[in-house]
Amino acid sequence: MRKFNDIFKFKKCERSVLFNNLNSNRIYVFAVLIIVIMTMTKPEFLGSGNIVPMIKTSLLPIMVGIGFTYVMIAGNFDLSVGAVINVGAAVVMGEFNRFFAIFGGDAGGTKAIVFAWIIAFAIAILAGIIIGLINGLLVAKGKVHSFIVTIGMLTALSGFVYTYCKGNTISADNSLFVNVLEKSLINIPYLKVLTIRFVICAIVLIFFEILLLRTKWGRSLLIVGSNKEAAWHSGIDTDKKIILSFVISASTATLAGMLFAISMNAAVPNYGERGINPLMLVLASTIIGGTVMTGGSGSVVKTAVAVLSIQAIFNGLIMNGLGFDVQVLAAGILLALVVIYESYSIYKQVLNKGVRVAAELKEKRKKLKQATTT
Amino acid sequence: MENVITNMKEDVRKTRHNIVTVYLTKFGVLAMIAFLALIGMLVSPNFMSANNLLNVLNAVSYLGIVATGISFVIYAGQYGDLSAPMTMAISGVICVEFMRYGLIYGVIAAVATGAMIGLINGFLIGKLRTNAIIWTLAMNFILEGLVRWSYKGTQIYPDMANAKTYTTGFFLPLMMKLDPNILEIDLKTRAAAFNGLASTYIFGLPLVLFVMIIVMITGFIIMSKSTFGNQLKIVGSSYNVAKMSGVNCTKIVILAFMMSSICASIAGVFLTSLNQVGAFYIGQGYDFIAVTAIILGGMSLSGGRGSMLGVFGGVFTIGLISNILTLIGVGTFTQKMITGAIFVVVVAVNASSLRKLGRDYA
Repeated sequence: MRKFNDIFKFKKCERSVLFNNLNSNRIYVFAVLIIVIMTMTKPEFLGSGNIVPMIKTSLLPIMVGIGFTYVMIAGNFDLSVGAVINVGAAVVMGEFNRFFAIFGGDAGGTKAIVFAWIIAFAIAILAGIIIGLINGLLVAKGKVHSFIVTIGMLTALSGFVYTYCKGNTISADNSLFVNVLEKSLINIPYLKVLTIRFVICAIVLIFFEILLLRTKWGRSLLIVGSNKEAAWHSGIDTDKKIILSFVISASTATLAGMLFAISMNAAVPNYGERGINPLMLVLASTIIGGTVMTGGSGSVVKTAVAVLSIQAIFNGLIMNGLGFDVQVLAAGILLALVVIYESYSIYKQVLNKGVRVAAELKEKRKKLKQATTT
Repeated sequence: MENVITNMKEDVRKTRHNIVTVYLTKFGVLAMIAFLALIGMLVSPNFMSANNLLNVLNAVSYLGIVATGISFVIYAGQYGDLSAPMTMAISGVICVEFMRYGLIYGVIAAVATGAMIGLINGFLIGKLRTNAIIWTLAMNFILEGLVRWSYKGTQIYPDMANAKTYTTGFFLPLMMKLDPNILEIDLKTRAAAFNGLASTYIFGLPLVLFVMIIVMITGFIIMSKSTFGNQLKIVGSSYNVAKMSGVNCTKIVILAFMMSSICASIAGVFLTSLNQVGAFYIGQGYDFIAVTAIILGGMSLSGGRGSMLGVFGGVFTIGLISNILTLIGVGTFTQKMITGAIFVVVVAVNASSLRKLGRDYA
């Protein structure tokens, strides 16, 4: 027996506390690293003229990332977000124009504008909720794999948006609200970010972070993600949780699309098809942000920080004179690296599963031996 | 002890397949094709003409080649190969680059590229057990970035080459460096040969159709008659059982993904030849339609169930649906919407019927 132990020297498999802490908070390390590198290469990176537009462009993926993280925490994937953004954008613009005309157009005054916006918002959000419900019901009750459902949804919705827009760009007939939404509240260089869109985004982000980590509902969602059967046995309605996570995903994506379209005053049917796909950005940042691919742990704020740091990389690439095409490549490689790292660590865990037991046994045997000799 | 056994409830779960479900899964596609043919005849008198049906087959032959490859991946229990669109695009681009030495070199380079992509996919999914969908999606993004970065946003035309063309691309600058006289190559005839690939007719039938039929027959033989096919079936139905019974699962998964990528690259070469331009957007959307066709053809998403005949049926059904919708006068984007809706409904029905049997869920 002793010979056996000598031959197979079991290595220590437990990771140190420091490594675990660093790994779970790796996104903050990553963000700081990127900021330092970018500032070293281009000092004007930290200027307000650069930071403010960067944060403004990342508001859309941050919003989408909230719902995406929720779905991933519950153990599923929502690939339809890219199309849902376009649905939100197109529907809110189209419905506003329709109701604005019904209320009498410019002759209706401010009242017509406000009512038309309220109705258009309600219809768009309702559309998002219905999309989420269909996704969630098919996944939770129909037991269809979430990839398949959401990919089908993606195609159906992108077809829908093209038919709805008739292939054109839709702009609002009245740009009053557009100006309000994008006007900065405080006119100090760095605080120019504080537009109403930013405030809405921040409130939604903080609300969902608290909902996830500080409430009973959120904690039970985490349990559903880490072990569905255990969650079911402990009395959690798993189906309801999964359906709601899909509803949250679709409605936050709709909201993000709506706000983006209003701020640009244009809804295009193919946003993200030729450029950087928002799905790619959100998927990469959710995984980099520490959400486990199989579900069970994650944080909305960490996803948002990851979005910001990826945007910082893009921004730095542009400042260093590299083109748009490099951004696409960089985002893809980043996503691939993180996926490889995650799956390699899971692979090693599985490999070491038996080894760890053997190491523990060895320790026990040592103690037993000591006890018997003394 | 006996008391306990007698008090146990009788197992009321179904153990035998419902005969209707069996026939529906086996011949469901044929029924659907017949139904669609009936609708088509009602819609337009031209529908049943040989010319129209030939057009349908011609239109889906690219899809058929891709679907044959992806069906191996789905048969192996992985959910699909989302890197197929960019594999098509990149092999088209590579083919155009190497075509200037002769068409056959171009095709060989394209297929080699496809095999390499499949090898990488298979290694990560078979060896490291990465989630197939996430990895192939990431691979798709990387390949898209590679093509766009190396071409700096431009496209490559087979029949156009000047000094500027040789500054971008994967191998073009290298070719220029190795052989400065490359500009004097007679590109016109070779480009014509490449561009004619998609419009070559043999006995009045397009070459692509023959390629699709050959690929499908090969796929059929590999899937249902070879040892590899049998091992694939075990891996797809139950990964752990396959592992315990001594099947080299990693190798099988790698081969399945290589199969998929090689088929995608063959289709990519033909599609590039059809469009007469190599660019990153060639083949967009083919992954999803291929999965739709495969599922329509009765292949189970959980792996290990289905046949190549069903895949052909599914591909033909997609062609018929698109043809009928065009004859009615429905636009392309509405067609997309309808295809997506059909896909979701078919998958839901498929999953629920499998669950009723207590088999599994997809």
